[in-house]
Amino acid sequence: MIVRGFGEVLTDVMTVNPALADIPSASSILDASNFTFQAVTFGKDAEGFTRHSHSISSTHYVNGDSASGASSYNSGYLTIINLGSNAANGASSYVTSATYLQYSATYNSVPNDPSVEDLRLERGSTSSTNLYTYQYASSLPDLGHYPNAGINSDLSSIWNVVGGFVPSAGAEDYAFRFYDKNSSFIYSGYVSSFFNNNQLMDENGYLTVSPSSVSDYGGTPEYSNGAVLLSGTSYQVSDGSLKLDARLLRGDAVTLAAFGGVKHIGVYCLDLKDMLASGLTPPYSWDALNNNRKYKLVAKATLLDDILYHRDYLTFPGLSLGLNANNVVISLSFDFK
Amino acid sequence: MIKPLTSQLGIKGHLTVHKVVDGQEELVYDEDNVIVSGFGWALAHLYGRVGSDVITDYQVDRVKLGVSGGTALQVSSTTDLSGALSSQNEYIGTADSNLEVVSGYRWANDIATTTGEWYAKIPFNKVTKIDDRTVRYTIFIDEDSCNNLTRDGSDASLNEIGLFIKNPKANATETSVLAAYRYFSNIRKTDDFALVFRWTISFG
Repeated sequence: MIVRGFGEVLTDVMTVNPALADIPSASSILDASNFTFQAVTFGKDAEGFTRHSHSISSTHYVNGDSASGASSYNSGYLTIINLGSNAANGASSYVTSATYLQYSATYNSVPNDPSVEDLRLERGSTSSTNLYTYQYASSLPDLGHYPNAGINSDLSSIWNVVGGFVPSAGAEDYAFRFYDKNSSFIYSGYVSSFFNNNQLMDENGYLTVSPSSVSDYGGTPEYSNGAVLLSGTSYQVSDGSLKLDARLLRGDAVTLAAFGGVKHIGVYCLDLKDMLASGLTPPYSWDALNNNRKYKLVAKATLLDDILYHRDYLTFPGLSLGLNANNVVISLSFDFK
Repeated sequence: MIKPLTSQLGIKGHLTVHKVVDGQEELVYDEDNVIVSGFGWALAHLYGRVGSDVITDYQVDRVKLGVSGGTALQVSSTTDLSGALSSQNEYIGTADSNLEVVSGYRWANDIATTTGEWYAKIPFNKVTKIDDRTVRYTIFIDEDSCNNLTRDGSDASLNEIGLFIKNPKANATETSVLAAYRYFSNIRKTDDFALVFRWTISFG
């Protein structure tokens, strides 16, 4: 769904003053990239930020730990509890709907219906309410979508309870442990973040969009610079349409799935007016660690079900050998006509 | 199925036409208009980053007037006016017209024409940001412009207008694309009066 922010961007496109071209200090405002898609975010239902945060639960015990809260546990690594572990649900998969069933008396797992007036992915607070015992948990921003705790200086130490992205590593040295609903250990594994290892996402969860044009890709999308713009037989620029693809590579898919999955995808342009008012003048280079860009939501996609829904296949565990061994590509199609 | 941008965002246009005599405006036309597919085509080039790198090339900065309009043209697939004014002289005559006219090519169904066509420029000071999602273009056809038009030896009346995006693919010869079209009731333009077209586009 295209939202009102896109209308605001189009109005800016139509009314930016051409005379700026004659002012050397301001002429870069007229660079078309200031008005194009610049970021993608991932979100889930607002309550999921509490229900799937990996704090210690009062109703479940693992390794003797207990506390109040949600679907999983903090033992220094990413601990994942499959509250619906049985053959039908996928004994070795993280079943987000099972977490809903476990807490159905109090957990509304439905994401906000999208509205053209939306300014963010979830309108309700996306601050977790069960992480207060953790140092720096108050630094967790209320963004409406997943933050990237993995590169936040305060939150990176508790990435495994905040989610949904692993700190930069260079090697797959972040462990996760998977338990069934009876708190019995099932298996362990390692995850890494392609986004953070390649500095493609800032601490507020904005995945940058590759600066390359659709024509640069041909048939082989190159995701190492972020989300990519694509044109193909059924979605061609010459017909007024295109696609924007974001790839969740292995660990990024696993950690998002483990923290409640993806039910919203957001697309953003720069909030040029806000940036200029803040004294930030173009060109706006991308720097994941010190990103000074401000964004405006221009489009969103919302699904009732988790887009990272997965199950076991035969004897293969869905989470570790399904998501963690494969890529998930999320494609958003735009028809501008 | 993906809904097109115009219906998702509710993009719509509205056109009023006023006769101006001795400084007094008389409303002679007041209707919604059609946003045509060229608008989306230009946006796809902007957002696909395969068009011009300069944002002003995606701005509506010119207009065509014509004499053969019809309701059948008020559809998304329209790429040009039916009977656009075809010469500089038809726009500005030999008198003291205030119009600035330019020649350029035009995109139609992703193919550029190669014969020069005439456009009247919309001065940027006539482009008004009404609110954060609304733009108004004011096209002033003064007493000395577009007068006494004829076709095949007979009098011809203005009855169609189109807004064009400047040059989305940054062609060396500016090649524009139709963004919005409207047919209106006949106006036989003479030097007795001026016309003011106020065209408002709402982006949701």
